[in-house]
Amino acid sequence: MDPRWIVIVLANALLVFLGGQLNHYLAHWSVSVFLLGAAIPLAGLRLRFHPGLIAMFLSGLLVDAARPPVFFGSSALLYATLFTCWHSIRLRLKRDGLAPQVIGALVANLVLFLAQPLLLGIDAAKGTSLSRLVVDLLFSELAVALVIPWFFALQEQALLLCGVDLANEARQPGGAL
Amino acid sequence: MSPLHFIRQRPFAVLGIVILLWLLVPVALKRLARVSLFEFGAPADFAASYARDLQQYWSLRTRSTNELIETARDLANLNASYEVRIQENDTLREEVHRLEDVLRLPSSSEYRTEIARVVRRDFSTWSQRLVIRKGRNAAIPVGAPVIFTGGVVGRVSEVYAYTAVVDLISSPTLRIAAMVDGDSRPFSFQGGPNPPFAQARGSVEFVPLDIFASPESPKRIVTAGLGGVFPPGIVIGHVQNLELDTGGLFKSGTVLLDPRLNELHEVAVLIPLNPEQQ
Repeated sequence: MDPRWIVIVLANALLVFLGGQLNHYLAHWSVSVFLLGAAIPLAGLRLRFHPGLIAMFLSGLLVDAARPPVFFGSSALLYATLFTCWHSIRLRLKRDGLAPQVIGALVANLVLFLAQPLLLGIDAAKGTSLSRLVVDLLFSELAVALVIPWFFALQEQALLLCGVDLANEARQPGGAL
Repeated sequence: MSPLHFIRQRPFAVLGIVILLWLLVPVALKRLARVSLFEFGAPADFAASYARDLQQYWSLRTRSTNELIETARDLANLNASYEVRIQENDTLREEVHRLEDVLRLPSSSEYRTEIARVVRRDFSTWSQRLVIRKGRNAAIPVGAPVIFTGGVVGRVSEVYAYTAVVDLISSPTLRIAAMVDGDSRPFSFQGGPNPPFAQARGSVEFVPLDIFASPESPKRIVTAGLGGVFPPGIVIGHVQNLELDTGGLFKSGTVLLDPRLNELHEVAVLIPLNPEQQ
């Protein structure tokens, strides 16, 4: 069985756990970071569509399980949609280097962050202040930009340990799809 | 066209099929999946919580003996004053029971207290929640009030096997019937919005017009006891200014909550002894 989607899901579970621990300590200052956009770049840039969609969908379910009551599966559908959009245009984008990872993660994080009030309802949206939203968004984007090189490398190394060499596969004909 | 070829050539069609299939999955199965995935991640949070407790233990071990003796002495003084208050409380409780019997009034709800350590604080932009280290294993029910030494913490919103999720009083999803300490007229309290780098706060609405508050003389807001969730008289926070609302019939204002809400390590869950009276 191809282990790549399992590795990606476990790596994203680690991301959710580490994000939760960071927010635990930041709670003292009434700020939080939102790191879920960092889960998309590797799948978007390197994985084929089939395992990538499975990995993103299951990662979204993990995210929803740990969050306030929303329609269960909403993050999964968001992740799947963002991944599909990225996957459909990625042949036209540069895929190597740090820039695509960082920019892709920042854009994905921004979209996911701004989608939260739609998922959580009008009470949650009315119950936050603009200053909190701006500060949290800034901190989140900064944290994602700092974390993504490490997280991307972690996922690639984990896949290598499981015998999946994405760089080699991408050089094969049709390997990018 | 083979399935794999279809998947590669029609990604948006596949996405649409996935969305449709997910919408058709029975709710019971989704609920089971949600609970299972939450429990899957719970041990990691548990382990982190125990690691923090261990870290605190070893940091206390580095304190000098004199420091520990002074702290123990201060705690002993505090315990002595609490012992006196417990005795006064027992006397008052007996008096309340005696008066209830004489006047044939229904007995007020009694609670048992379940102390729980905080596993994780989740104070995001949109919600404020705590995960505590007790759940169904301690018979904690959904909706149970949660308090700490400074007053109200919130209400239990979800219960799992060994953990429970508490919606904090500063969360915009929580509304409580409140009143000014010493006044019996209830009004509405709702959590949020919470600005960054500041004390947690909430807002009050439908406050009677003859109640005034200012930064020099803030009013203490306590639970009204309506609805049977929170016992009456538990501190919520302080309101420092009340302004006429748009209708002109009531006042509204911002309530400053206890700053210790942002750094809770332990809370007490109040579990009603007579749930049918709730």
